[in-house]
Amino acid sequence: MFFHVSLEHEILLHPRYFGPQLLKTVRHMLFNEVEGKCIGKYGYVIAVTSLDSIGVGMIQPGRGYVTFPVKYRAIVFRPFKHEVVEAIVTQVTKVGIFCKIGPLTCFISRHSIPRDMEFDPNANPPCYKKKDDDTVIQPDDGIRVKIAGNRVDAQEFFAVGTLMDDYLVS
Amino acid sequence: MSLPAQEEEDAAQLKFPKEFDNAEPMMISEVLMMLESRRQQQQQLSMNGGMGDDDDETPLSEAFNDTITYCERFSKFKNKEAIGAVRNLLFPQDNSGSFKLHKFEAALLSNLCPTQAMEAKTLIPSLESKLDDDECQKLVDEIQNYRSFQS
Repeated sequence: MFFHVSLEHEILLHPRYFGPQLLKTVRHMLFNEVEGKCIGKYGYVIAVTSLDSIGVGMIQPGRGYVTFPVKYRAIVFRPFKHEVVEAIVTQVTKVGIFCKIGPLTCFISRHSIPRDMEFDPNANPPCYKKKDDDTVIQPDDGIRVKIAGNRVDAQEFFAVGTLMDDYLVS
Repeated sequence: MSLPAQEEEDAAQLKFPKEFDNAEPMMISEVLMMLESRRQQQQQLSMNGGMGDDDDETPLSEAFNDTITYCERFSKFKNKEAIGAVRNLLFPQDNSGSFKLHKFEAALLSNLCPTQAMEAKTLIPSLESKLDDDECQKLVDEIQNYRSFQS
């Protein structure tokens, strides 16, 4: 799910930037430092939408660097456990399916794919197929996935999904 | 009920980490609009003299590009009018609205666009206690209407 949230960030600035362009530099650095990054509990910061305030800079004792507290609003993407989302299949293998939900990669283990779907390594491209009808899952398909769990790392989110529920897959 | 020590999140029961208390869930279509306008700005900037002294010469991140591809594919509503109408329907501004959907449920409904009440309730289990089948069916039908009548 995408969210619009208010966030805070501290910009550490070298003294060489102190000049008429100071605030512009702070702005620029904020975009550089947070966009596309994954921050702890908030998930991926996709795009900064507005800069609410740039606080008073504090000089670091003994270093000359200055930190600016910045408040901004941004679009973030964060998967939650048991949320149903649509995803794009990127890779289909014997052990399961990899798919992408925006910036997030999600893995669906073979054990979380309905039993009546079978892996067909000889098809081109390889796919999962239902025996009795012609439901297939192959790369670039859009599927509905339920997030079974996710793990937050400092830099990245990892998610595992499942297809074992009604109305999932397509 | 107090939360257990390690915070448990569960979208099916609408339990979210406290960081998201004030977060505003967005529809995929809205995200797409915002990202597209951002991309246009970026393109104009680079057309107007590339390395000009103006700011924001930040290349768009990989996450940005992945997200825009994703949104293009799964955006259900194509124009501002349809998006606005759906938002009015699902996220009533005042509290007098006829149903009391959580914002998260509302966004999920508009992203997944289920066609049947059963489907909606299976995908979003927390709807079960809020809407009976008829209300739910009416709601999903209305969303479908906005989808089919957009130009």
